[in-house]
Amino acid sequence: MTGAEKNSLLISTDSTLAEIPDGSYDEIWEAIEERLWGDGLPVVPPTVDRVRRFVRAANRAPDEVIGVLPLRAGKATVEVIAANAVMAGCRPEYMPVVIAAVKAATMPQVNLTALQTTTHPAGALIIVNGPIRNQLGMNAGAGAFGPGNRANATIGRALRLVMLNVGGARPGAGDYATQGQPGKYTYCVPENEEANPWGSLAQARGFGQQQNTVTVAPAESPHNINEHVGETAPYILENIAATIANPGANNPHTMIIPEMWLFLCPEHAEAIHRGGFDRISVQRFLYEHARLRLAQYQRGPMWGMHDWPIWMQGTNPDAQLPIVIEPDRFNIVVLGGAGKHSSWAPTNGGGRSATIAIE
Amino acid sequence: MLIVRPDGTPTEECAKLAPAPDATGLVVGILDNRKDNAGRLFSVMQQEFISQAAGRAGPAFQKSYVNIPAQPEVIVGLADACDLVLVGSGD
Repeated sequence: MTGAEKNSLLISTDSTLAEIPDGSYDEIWEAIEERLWGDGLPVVPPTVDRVRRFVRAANRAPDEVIGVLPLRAGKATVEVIAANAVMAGCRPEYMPVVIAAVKAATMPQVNLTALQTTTHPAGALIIVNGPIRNQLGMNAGAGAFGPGNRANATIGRALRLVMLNVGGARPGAGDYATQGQPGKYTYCVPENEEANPWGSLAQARGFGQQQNTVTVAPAESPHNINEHVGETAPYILENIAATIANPGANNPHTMIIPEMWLFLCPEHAEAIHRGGFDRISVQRFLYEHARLRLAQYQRGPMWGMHDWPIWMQGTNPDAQLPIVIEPDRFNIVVLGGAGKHSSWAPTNGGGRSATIAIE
Repeated sequence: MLIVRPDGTPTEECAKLAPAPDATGLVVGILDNRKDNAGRLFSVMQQEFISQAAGRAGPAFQKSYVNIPAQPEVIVGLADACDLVLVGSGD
């Protein structure tokens, strides 16, 4: 196919096209799977017409490079991202969020090389803030982590497909996760900002309430925090602190880098707020109460695997040490519907989240 | 059916592997990433290069932190001093 012929099909002349059998859907899916371009689930074929519609919805140059992804240093152009978004089942109007998610994932602090290759079960958590959440019909309420909402499900899946296809890290061949986790298929939620008494995650990071943002973080799957009887803020927060002080997580053993994700359900958030706690005092409380004994660190899974802060090298085995290096490493997001289940997610310890505006 | 490939094209500078060296007589260094067995594994491998391929031991560095890349000066120092550096144990 000549360049002119390509240009007549696509907006960009840089795209690489592939011919696959024009048969039944089953045959098309098999052909895509054979080329290792899928994630194991059915995909929407990224036909030229579909990709063109998605590129137009992005309102950006098709050959604009949004990021370069390890491991194969693949160029994630708008057009290539569009192909993956099509495959994931996105609607065209999701493109600005998907593009921002890819860009955020390639920010240096995320350390995408570590996220792609680690034996740890980290997924690429996406948190969406701003009015676009509601414009796209995202679900921040009951069952927000899934299943059931197309935008939540497919935006997260689109980023994962970009990581698989453009980054080239596939399980056992670049992605060396020992077990992986279901959130490595898709892991995207909008914050329930309307139920957050302290302002959104994005506002805590300096963005305006009307700004649309996306945050990408290397994170484990959400772990349940069951708290049905506590009515006071300290009671609820003490149980949260006891739950997240978990010696099996990477966070405490990789002290310097990590942050911790806390997804408060609206009822817990409201009760804590009613108790007079603001975001900073919640972070401070967790910093002071979510602790591990020095002996737990010293018998832990990563003692000796890096240089520890000098203040951790004490001699009292019962000394109570924090699980993150500073209180503001506890990221607080309000999420979900009715009920008294919050959740938390540790990270891989090798990267931190990035929040950027959706353009 | 014509589709757009979802994998894109790799950047040229990163898409090429360095040519495989002749192992004979190489200076073999170590970058221990602090994974539990990395130092032991690389020491054994270095000794194998020395005994089987008339190699020489180059410098050995430990990363200060297991989860983040080595400091650029460490990379430059190893590159200047060695022909081959053992890196990247996952255990």
